[in-house]
Amino acid sequence: MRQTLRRQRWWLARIIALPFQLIVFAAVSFLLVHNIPGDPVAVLTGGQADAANRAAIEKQLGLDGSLPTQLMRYLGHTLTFDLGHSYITGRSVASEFGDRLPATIELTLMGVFLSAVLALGLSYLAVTRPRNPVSYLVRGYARIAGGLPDFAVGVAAVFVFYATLHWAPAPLGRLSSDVDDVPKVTGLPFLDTILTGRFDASWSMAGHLALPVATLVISQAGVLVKMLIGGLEEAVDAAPTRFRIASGASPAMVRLSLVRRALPPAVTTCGTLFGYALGGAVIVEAIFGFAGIGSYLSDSVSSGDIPAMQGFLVIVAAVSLLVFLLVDLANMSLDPRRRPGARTD
Amino acid sequence: MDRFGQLALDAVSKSFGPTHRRHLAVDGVTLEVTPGARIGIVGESGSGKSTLARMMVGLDAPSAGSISFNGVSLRSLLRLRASRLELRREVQFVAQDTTSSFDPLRTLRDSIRVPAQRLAGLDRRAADERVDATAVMLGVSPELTDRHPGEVSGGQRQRLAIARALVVEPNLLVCDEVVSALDVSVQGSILNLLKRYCVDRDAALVFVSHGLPATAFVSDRLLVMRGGQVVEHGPTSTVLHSPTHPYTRDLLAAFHGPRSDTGAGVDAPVALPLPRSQPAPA
Amino acid sequence: MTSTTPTSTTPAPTTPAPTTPASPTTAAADPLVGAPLAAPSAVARPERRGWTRWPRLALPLVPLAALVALAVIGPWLTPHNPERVSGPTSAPPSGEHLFGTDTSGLDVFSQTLAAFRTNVWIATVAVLLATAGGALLGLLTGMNESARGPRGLAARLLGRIADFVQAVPGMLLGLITVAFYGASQTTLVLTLGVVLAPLQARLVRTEVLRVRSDAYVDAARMAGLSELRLTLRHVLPNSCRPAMENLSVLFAVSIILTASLGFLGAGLPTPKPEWGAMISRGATDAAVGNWWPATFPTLALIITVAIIAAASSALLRRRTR
Ligand SMILES: Nc1ncnc2c1ncn2[C@@H]1O[C@H](COP(=O)(O)OP(=O)(O)O)[C@@H](O)[C@H]1O
Ligand SMILES: [Mg+2]
Repeated sequence: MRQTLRRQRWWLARIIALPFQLIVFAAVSFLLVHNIPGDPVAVLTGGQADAANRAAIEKQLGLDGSLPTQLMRYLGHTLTFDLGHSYITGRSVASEFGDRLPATIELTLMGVFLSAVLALGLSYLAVTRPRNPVSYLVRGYARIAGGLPDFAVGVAAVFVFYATLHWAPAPLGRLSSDVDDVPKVTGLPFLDTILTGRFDASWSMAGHLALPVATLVISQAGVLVKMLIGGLEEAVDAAPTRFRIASGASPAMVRLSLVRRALPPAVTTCGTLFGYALGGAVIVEAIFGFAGIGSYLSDSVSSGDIPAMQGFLVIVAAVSLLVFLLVDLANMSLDPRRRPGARTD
Repeated sequence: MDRFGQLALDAVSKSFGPTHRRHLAVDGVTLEVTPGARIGIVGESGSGKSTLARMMVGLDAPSAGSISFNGVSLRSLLRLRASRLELRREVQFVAQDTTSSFDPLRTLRDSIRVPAQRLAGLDRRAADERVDATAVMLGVSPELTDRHPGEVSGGQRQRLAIARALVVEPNLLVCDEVVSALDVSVQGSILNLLKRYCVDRDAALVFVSHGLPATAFVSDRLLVMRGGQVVEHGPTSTVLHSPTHPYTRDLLAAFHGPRSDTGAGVDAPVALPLPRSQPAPA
Repeated sequence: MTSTTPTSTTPAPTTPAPTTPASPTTAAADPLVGAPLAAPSAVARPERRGWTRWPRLALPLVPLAALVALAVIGPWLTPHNPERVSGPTSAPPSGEHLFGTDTSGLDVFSQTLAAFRTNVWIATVAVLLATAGGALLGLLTGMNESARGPRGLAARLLGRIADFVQAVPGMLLGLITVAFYGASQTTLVLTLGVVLAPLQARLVRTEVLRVRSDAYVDAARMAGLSELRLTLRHVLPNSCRPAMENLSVLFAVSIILTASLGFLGAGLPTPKPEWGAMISRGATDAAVGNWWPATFPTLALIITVAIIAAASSALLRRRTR
């Protein structure tokens, strides 16, 4: 039993650490928010609060008591997934996010997944057929990686495909106005259309998703292509690959080992990419009028809704930490040398 | 602080690694170094020689046991700036690694001048002269010191690393594998030089090497290390002629047997490996 | 995220890396150019005459100089006041309004020009701040993290905090910080600095972990240098190269990040010329077929990023030879 535990330590430890990391993050974000200049009570009441009134509101907002008390109370609530209530709407922040986050995550995942597939294909082509004209294009694209801002790509896409060519539907949401709304099952909008068998909505949504997802892919995939080209070229030159070729392994085997060697850094990049894509999704939502955390964030930012923003920080951090965890676990199982405690020298 | 009088190691141990997987690199070594002593430390690779040498000069702190210089613990000497500089002036170290021994972004002279200025208290002109003189002493043309470390050969770099230690004229010099990376003829001249330096100044030398002949040539006492422990310790000739530990015997056998007349005249030509193979005393 | 430049072209005298097709701007600095003149030995290379060498190396820096000039004097070159209505709304490009006007009648050309100062200035200061902070953080964590006792503990804690900051996507963190502390150049610069510093810190730390066990660091200790001195004198210069190579990437990221924040309405207050906010306002125009208000600031942004990338790769090439 102990032996088994010790052998599985590398991933168990990471998973156990996750909640603690989150608590630390929640504490940091609480302190950060606490230091904001300005007085939330004054904001809420327009500076009209008298002393008794003020005490009541402070109590309601969880702003009474000393800083440590407030912090402990906040952390306690966070542990029970209670992120407080919006100053403005009075609704629970957690449920607001429950309504919106899945849609954003779905968009993000579509972007990351397609970026990864596209990048793998393109970089493989560029490395194995360096003389192909497409390969030159791919390398050129990789070189400007990171220099293509997603909002510019999105605006250009709207201009070309909607305003000029009229190929794409109006950038005003996920569904055309003549399609009925789809009941919620999982909260992931596209998946829900399939689960409820509303294929007319799936079709409409696919049309509305084409430009936003393409925007994400075009502006994000370049980094990954660059990374993979570098990794694959290194792997082609690496001693183990030469050994496999020299010892007459089948081309399929060689190819597999190539990709396996180039993969871990690319998986890491995918994790980072998820973060960028999440930011990109917020922008894309703004351009294409999608409902998601983007508009919620903009609203709470402009109305100074502190619990909403604080909840936003914690939730985004949770999602990101989870993704980093998955990335690390994937890498550690691909390459045992990356496990903690492994000696590499 | 006075001139170097004694460096004493008392049951010194050093362990590495996380708590659940501790690994003893040096295991309870007790040793005393006095002026004029030339101590050789031999042992196979990984036996803890480098770790021990680094602790002696205060680059690493022991996990257990204590090291004292003239009766004062190294730890407290290193804490204060003044006593730390005094200690560095008395005790110098030449590291094992020859590729990274000098900062690649600076000229060799820049690096060698630092101890001359900071420790020997020379002004810039005098420090430069000292650098030149020391380089010449080690058989390197002074012009070479104006180059960067990547622009001289490994052997030249190693000599200059020794020069950097010798510019402050230390009374205890600790050398870790200084000749192991050099070819045999260069080895001989450097060994001669080190030995002469110590005899002339009555300075002490701790010479660490996995090569037995070179160590035997410069040392008058010999320590044999294995797995972090000292398995044999005594005057060089005694250890060579009548080793008590089976490991020492194996080691000697690997070098064609022991040699009778170690520590001959300072200028004795070094022939490596040692001549005259003679069956090891059983 | 690593450097954009194909820096692996360490100048090999005999085989000048034919596989890397140099971009037009960097081609002038390519070792191939001068090769036929020089004797085919490695020794001949450094003796290449100064007057043939200088223009070639300086050429890629001309756009950079132009960029800097624009950032400094741009606001004085504007034909119209960039913050005032100066004509009809949504007028297409013409002689009077070179880049047209936007929905509120602001001159796009003047706005684009004036925004050079805002965007380039914010990005430059943010990158410098992030690099200085990142180098400090990387040095502190790298030098101390494996120490026992409180020093090591503090260093490891610092490293964790940097990881946390990195865990949150920079744009979202920026959005919230700007919302909390108000939109001003100072907030933007500090926010970008905090968001980007961990990237630099990670690069520096990796190098520090390598460098700190090099023998010359111990040699500096033996020469009597204090830890602080030897860190500044030997460890820092030998650890900052990847972070320097990353500068252009970081610059691009902060230009884009600033504009993204502006795009989402969390940038500087409205009439202040800023590319992101301009593109955001232009997006509504683009949806009805007016291309100019969004196109010109986008072009300015992309060209700026490209100039910085080209200049930095040219500079790095010069340093490697
Ligand atoms: N910094 C370190 N971290 C972990 N282990 C170390 C470190 N330095 C040395 N060791 C270990 O200590 C042992 C002794 O090493 P060393 O003193 O270098 O031996 P030698 O110089 O005799 O070859 C080796 O097993 C080595 O792996
Ligand atoms: Mg050693």
